[in-house]
Amino acid sequence: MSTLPPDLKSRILLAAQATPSTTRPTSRAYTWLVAPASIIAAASLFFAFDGTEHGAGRASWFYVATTLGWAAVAALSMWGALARGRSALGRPRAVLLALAVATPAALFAMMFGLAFVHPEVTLVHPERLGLKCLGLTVAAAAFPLISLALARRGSDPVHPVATGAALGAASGASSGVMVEMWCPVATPAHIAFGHILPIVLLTLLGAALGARFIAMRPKSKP
Amino acid sequence: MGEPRGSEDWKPRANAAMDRYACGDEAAFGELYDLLEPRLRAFLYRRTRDDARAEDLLQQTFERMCAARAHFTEGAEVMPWAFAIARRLLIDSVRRGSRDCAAVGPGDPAAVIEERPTGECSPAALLGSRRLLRRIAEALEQISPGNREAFELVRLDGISPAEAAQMLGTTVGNVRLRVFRAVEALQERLGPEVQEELGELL
Repeated sequence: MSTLPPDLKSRILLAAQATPSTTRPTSRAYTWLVAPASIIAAASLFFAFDGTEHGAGRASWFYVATTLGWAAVAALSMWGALARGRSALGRPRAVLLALAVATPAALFAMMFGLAFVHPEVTLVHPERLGLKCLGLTVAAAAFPLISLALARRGSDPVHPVATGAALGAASGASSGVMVEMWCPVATPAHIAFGHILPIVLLTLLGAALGARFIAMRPKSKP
Repeated sequence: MGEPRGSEDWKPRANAAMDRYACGDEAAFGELYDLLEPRLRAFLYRRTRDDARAEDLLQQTFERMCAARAHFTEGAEVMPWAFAIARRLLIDSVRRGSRDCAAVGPGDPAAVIEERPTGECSPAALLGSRRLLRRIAEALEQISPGNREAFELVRLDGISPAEAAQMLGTTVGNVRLRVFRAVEALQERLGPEVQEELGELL
């Protein structure tokens, strides 16, 4: 290894100064702004499609139980995807992938379990396939997912695809809380198609966004 | 320039400097550069055997660290993060077809381990023999790339197995196994007299 060029440090410091970057407080403020903005976007969709009236017909206990269940899973999933643990490299890839897989699986297991134990909850509109639920979940999750992926642009040198997939699953589960409050249907086929499939699709979209945006890439040379 | 070899208090100082830089203290970047540059350059040179390429990747690494400073976790270790960025850029540059980093470049193979970044009493310095250095470097070349990379990260660069596992996208157990296999292979190739000199490394 030869001696260091004398101007290397000044060259690198100048290049670093010229590199656009935000500071940690600014980035945190941006991330925290995404939460209320996402809630407003989801609430707008909820009320634009008849709000609570659309969910009429189901038992109150079922409404409360599913809403709380979805909210708990979504909160856990979002915490797992956003908090990076103690390492600057973020959570291990296996943990992120487990989150991406476990989130829809846990939600489906919860809904299936409730329907199995209380089959009467599946009697409300069993004919509905779930296209609206699918569309609403994807629409409500798009804003937080894209915002969070952009907030983390060029930040992950190790496992951006897994990070994006975990963000996608968490965003899907979070928007799913609103859709769960809106939708009265509890048949397993409807839940799988209208509520779980969009989370899987958002997980895949998150993985694609991770590869495209969250991945750390070398600066393109002029 | 840089931290004197053998001093171990540079890690907390580098972590603190990165924390300050992430929070907007621009002056901390110079201190961070002084603390990390020798280690990063040795890391990159060991894998490229090319001064110009190592310097280019070094500059890119610092630029990426600067661009991503907002995402540096408060209180985290900066070295595994910086090494992970350098490794990512190295992999990307190989993928772009600029050159194959696995190929032996124009440099001396012995330099691959001669520039061990940490520790005053590096095995290379203790041995002080180009012939032995060459033998060790050649033995390193002969072990499988996966085992060699884990060995270099953990034993030469001073990265913990947990952090190396994250960088390599595998488990801690797998990293330990790879290091163990690399050590076994090196011991087999180097013979007992070199093993004694290398001590802690093997």
